[in-house]
Amino acid sequence: MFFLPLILLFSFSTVHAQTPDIKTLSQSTRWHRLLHYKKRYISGYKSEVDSREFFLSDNGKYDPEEEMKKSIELFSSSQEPGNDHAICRFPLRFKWLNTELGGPWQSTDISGCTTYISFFQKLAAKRASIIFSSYYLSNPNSAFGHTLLRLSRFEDSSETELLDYGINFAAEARAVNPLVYMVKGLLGGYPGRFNAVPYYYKIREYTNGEFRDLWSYELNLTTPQVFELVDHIWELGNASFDYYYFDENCSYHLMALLEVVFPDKDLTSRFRFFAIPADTIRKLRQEGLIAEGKKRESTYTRLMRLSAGLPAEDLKTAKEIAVHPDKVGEVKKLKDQEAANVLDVSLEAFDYFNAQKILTEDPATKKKKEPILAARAANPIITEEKKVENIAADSPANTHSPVRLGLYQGYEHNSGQLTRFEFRTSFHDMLDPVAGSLRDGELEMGRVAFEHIERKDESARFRLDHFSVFSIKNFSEQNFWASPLSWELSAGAKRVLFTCFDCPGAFIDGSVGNTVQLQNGNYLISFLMNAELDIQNSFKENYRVGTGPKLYLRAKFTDALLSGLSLPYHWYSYSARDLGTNQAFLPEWETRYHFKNNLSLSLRTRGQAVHDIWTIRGELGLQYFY
Amino acid sequence: MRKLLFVVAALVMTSSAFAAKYGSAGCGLGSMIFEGDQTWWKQVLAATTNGTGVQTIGITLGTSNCDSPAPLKVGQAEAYVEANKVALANDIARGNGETIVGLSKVYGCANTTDFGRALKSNYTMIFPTTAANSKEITHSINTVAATTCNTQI
Repeated sequence: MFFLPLILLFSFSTVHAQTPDIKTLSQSTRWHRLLHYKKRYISGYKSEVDSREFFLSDNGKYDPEEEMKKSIELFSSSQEPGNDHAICRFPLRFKWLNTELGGPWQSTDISGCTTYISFFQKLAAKRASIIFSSYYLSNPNSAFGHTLLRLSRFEDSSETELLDYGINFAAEARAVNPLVYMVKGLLGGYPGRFNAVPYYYKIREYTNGEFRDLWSYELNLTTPQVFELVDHIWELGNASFDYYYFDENCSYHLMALLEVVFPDKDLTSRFRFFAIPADTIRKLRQEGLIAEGKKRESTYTRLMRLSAGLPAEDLKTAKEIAVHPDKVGEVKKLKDQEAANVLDVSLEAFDYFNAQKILTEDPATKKKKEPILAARAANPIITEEKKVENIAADSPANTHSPVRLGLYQGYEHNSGQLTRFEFRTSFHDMLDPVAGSLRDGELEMGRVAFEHIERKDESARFRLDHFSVFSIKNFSEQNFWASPLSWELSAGAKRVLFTCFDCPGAFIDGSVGNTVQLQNGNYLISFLMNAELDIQNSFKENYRVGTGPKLYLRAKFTDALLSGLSLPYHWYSYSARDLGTNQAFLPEWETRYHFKNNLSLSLRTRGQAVHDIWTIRGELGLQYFY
Repeated sequence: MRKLLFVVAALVMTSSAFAAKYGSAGCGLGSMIFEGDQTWWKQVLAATTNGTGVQTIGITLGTSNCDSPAPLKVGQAEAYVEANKVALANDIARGNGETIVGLSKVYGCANTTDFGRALKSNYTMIFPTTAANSKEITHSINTVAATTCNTQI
């Protein structure tokens, strides 16, 4: 028996001198948060919970006062409630109201709420943490990362996570067609629910299956607050929420859940339209609600760390053994310590190479691994596990804000002076501040740029320069262990070259290739094949296709100073406007200096060369993140 | 036109290549589950999000596939071993690691280092073949814990 909710029931019932009237009480922030009410745009309230069972009154979703009256009526209806009774279903509402109303139900015996009590005891929560599962660009639907809660059973935080529970909010989708799935997800066609799973399943899924690091941040909660959190999770057990990919997603609902136990903090307003998981972690840090983070390495991260200290010869042996475990005898010629190091890397590498088969516990794979395990067990060395150090630089709590505003002043020869305005809703591009964000990638949703530009012999114009619905780059490096494909994909509308001066056309642009990194990733070089489809009515048949090689380089001189150079060369399917050629070179170079995490200076030049006709522009601007 | 078709096909193929990897991976659409996908963690998620008829009130704590609670008692060790088998074999072969710390808590061992060392030296007894099931593994671990940690099984 861990702790009795029965005792807890009366522990914080400071009896109020006078009972407030129900109307006032039903307008209190706490009540609104317990029922997830949000102000509607015009007037009144609406709960974000979409399932009928979450409310006790008929119009509970829209009427906080009626819901409170009905709650009081039902809470007063039994002294010894059973599992189906409102008291057992909504213990936190019951406890809170009991306190606020001066303890009218002090003698109610809730020991009949057996399912609730067993839930409470099974979780046995003493501490709670918020978990961030890293960006996963290989899957566009979880590219932004994911957040969940972890409830811990031990006061002692060292290495007992495997005994904890994870509280996860996820959508229940039943679709086979990815398109249907995507559209429904965007429009709220799937119900989302909270569920509790042993945390080790989450570890396996994320770190072993998808190679994503997990970050955990302990919430600054007192024990009674942890109990309240568990109570509210229980209350939400039956609640379903329409799931929306961008706003009402996992991170949003976790924040709404935390708002219940942090009554004086506003944790959701910022995220009503867009909840980026890392941004919610950043917000919690800003509010002082979480402690310094801890990182759980993915199989890949661990492999990289373990192999970092090994001589090249040993690495080769380790890889050879990981690929052909029956060659494990090769370590016999090594001294015990060296052999142990090699075998540790081999084990990790084997798990990395065979991750999916290991997750599904494929018998042949398990058998294949046996010689490495046996050799390692026979080796007497026990290596002290190194603690993962210096994680602040990578911690998503330190990431920049996703929304970016830019104002640039520049000059384009052949035209004249220009002023450009840019707005981006989220989240990160290749030159944004690096701390806590995507390491070698870009993930932008919704970026729009307008410009005011002077023209020779004509009046100045205001025009759309660029609009992208999304832009994703995944430039993971090729190295000794991995050879991932690099790719990028973007779509939107932009001014199309060789057509009229300022008419935009729709585009889809994609590349595939390889990336190498030098000097610990400070220099990144991608060799890509690029293809672009432009759609505009000035082309013959209304479209044009451009293909060609593209070279991309990024230099990270310091965390504050980054520079990117993009060199694509295109052959187009048509030459337009009698330019006599269908080829173009479109270099672009940008350098950014970050004064702070939220303010940057950008210097950018763009050019286009068709034959030997060059158009070049230069811009200098400020970017502000909020 | 053929060029265009090629590019469109390439883009569509890339996006469906991503689609094929949809898992229960993360926030947003990615955390949804596809029918017909039989990998274990998707089954687990499917099971835990299904809202079976068994428990009509409140949150599910795992059903059929995922009925194993995170253990706190020796009697629950088997579920832990079952779910962490791969990491456990690695850790026992190495003689330390997180799964051993967890087991040490479950068995109430005073000294995790000694427990790790004892498990390591009994590796071949605990994992006589790769086909050993979690019941057999747990039984062997019980024996090691009984002598090293003085745990009453």
